[in-house]
Amino acid sequence: MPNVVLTLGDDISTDVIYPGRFMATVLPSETPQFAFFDLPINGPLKNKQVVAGSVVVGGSNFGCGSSREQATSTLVGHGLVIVAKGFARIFLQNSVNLGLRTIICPDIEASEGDIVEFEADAVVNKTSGRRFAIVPLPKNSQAMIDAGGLIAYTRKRLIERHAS
Amino acid sequence: MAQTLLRKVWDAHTVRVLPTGQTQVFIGLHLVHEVTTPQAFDALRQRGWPVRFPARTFATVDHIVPTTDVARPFADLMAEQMLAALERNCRDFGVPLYDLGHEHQGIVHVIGPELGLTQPGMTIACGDSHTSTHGAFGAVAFGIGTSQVRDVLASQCLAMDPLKVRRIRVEGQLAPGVYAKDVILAIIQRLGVKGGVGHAYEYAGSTIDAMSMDERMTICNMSIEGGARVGYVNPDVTTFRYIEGRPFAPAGADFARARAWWQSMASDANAVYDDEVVFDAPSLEPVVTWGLNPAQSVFVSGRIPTVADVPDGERAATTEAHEFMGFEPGARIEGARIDVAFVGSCTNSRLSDLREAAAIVRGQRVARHVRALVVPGSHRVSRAAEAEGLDEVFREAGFEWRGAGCSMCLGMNPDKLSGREMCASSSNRNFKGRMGSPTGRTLLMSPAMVAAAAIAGEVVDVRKVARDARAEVTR
Repeated sequence: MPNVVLTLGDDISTDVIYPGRFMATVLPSETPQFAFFDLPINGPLKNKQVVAGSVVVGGSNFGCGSSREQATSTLVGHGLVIVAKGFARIFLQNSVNLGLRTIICPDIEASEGDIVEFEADAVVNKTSGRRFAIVPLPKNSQAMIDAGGLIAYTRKRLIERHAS
Repeated sequence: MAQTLLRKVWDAHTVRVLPTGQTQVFIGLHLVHEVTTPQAFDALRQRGWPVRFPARTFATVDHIVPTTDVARPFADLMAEQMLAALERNCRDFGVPLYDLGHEHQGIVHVIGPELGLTQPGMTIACGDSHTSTHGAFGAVAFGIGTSQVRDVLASQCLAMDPLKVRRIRVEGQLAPGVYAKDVILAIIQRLGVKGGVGHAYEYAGSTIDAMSMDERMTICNMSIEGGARVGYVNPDVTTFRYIEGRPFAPAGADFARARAWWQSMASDANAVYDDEVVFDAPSLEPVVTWGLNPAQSVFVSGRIPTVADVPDGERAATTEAHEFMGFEPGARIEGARIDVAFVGSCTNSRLSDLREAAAIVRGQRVARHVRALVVPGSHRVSRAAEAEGLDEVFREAGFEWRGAGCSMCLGMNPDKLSGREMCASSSNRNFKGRMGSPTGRTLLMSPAMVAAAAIAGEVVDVRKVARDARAEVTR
């Protein structure tokens, strides 16, 4: 079951998720090494000690500031799931487009090391035994995230349309 | 029915309403820079697609360029590679590029307006969150991520969710020493960094009406810092006068026709807003940020809030900011020692900003322990400032006079803070790590306040300095 590997406060900026001094990378495949570079979690991420599906819990306005999509691709690269009280608009749009799993959960409470489980309409913290309601994304946005992003989603739809 | 500018511009650019409920919006102007576009161009290349409207697409370089030695190749090979990618992409796809050395080069949000590319009633997109700057002209302008840059390059359209409109009325006359930067910092302080989520901010009222285009751009620029993706001012005579005669502005009969249309796009007098807030301009003082987001600020005469001063939900963030910044809760912000002074960025690097800063430093000396630099927003600003001798004023005072670019604002080029340096900055973000050092500290303020801090070596009230300067002249 997914494990909370990092908890953060409100207003985490894309400068914290992906510092500007690593912006001169041209390939999305190069971005994961710089995830949360100035936080201790960068070590375990870089050393592949964090399994895909692990959870980052944030506060409100997660991903505020710069529009840099590296802040999204760096998290996609580690297969992280972001549960936050709210997301900044450009970051959320980038996440839908790149297929980053983002879950809006306004009352979420969790500590690092907690085990959480995802239900259709709630995040269940198995460690504390508490259940927190999810605010669903628009259906279409959720379908894009599930498909792995806008391009993958569109490709899937075109194939389906062609087959029917 | 009476409508807001947002609604009129939105409707004029609606291609269709999508099955998802989103609107497919046509983008009138797409501005491109080196950092957020290489993957977008690659996506088109892989599929063999052209740029759909190259005549509506303009590129320049600003984020990664050095502001001292621009000889190629750059010392930073990654930056060199990134610029080379933009040059190749613009060549291959037929997009005009205002490269280093070109007379139009500069920060993307400075050159759009000064070239007359930015016009009222437009939709404007750019892979940069400060695209809201262009809203000063009555355009609907917003930042996008790289995958949306790809979509705009390929289709000139975006799928967008509707926005609510909050009118922010600022009324009355600003006191001497209080600037547009102080107004927007005060707005963000009151409404918060996420107060604008889902909203466009319409700035109105007598204070905004009296402002120059440079000042309106400073206000709209930081809309994103308040969580609003779009911020705009209704176009008026000030707007039209600014645009007339610029390289890409319509001329002659075309200008008259355009002007009538621009005027018609302004919000109607009885338009209905989702909500409204009012600010009293005469009660504002110079504002300085003390924390880690642009809403954590105080008047220069004020004290850094203690944990008891803030709502429950902000206590952890307040403590974190006290510790990171090294400030005693309850201490005065005035007197905070600085190491670096930076005048520049898309918020405050225009000619009027440089004039305001120069008026403070004229005949003074930068404090011995302070490294101070002025980075004009564009080549054009730089030349205009040099024609007035402002470069000499700054140099004689001990400032470095640099070439155009984003410079220290974002830590993506050689201009960075080192270690825990404290920077008085006319830029827009004080986030951890923003200026290139993980432990570097940023105090946001107006260009005049930065200039005053550079001279004093610490945060000072520019109104006192200006008063002293005036007194000296009288003597």
